[in-house]
Amino acid sequence: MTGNTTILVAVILFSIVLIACLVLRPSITATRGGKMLAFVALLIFPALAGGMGVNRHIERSKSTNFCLSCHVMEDYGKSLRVDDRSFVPATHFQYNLVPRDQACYTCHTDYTMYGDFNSKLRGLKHVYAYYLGKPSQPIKLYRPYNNRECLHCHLGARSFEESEAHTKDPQALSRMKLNQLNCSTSGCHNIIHNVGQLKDATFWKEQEK
Amino acid sequence: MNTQPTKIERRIRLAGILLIAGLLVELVTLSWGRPTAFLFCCWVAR
Repeated sequence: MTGNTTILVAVILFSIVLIACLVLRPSITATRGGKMLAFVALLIFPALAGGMGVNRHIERSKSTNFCLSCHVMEDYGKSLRVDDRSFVPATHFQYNLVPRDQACYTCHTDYTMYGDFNSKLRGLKHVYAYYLGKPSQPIKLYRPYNNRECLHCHLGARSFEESEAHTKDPQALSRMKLNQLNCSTSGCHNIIHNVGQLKDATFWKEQEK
Repeated sequence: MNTQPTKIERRIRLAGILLIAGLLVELVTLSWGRPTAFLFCCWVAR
């Protein structure tokens, strides 16, 4: 249990104890002190516990394990361990180009002002489709992948700015930066999860530390 | 001596019981790392 979770559990348990006092002896609210206790126990602490709980769950929902906990995502999780550097997500995952514990979220959030919020809204849509609808097969993005998400890390990097493939055409770099030349669909980095090819693939086994 | 709880006391008791139930659900969802836990927790917080 992490430190934050321990604090949250303590807040929840303390709230329950305070509320239990009021449930057992509601007559204490007749006094001034009792009214203050009721305000703290019925409003302040539950609001604090609720807010901290939602925040904890939002943080947890960024984890790779959380995304891969749905059955439909299993193959996408496997594709992160394909032993082939042409698989873009696998390379990012295995070479620590993205944090492994937040691999899905790092590439699939929007790097905009409300990007986190929007990606969580999309997550709710996924939950709806998973439990009440029918997930599309194969799974598709809602809109074409935006270069902005790649450039969040790669922009300014020497490997990106001075790459021979990127500088051969003098217009290419600026078109990529303007999202006019898509990194993943222009024929350069177009092997993404490709879950249809997994049955013939070999997989990287992480060595025990 | 009248020991019957007043209307406000009955309401405080009901509110307390509902809050305790909600907090217990939240406590359970903390050890549950799936999207449904997230939904339950949001529902409780609401």
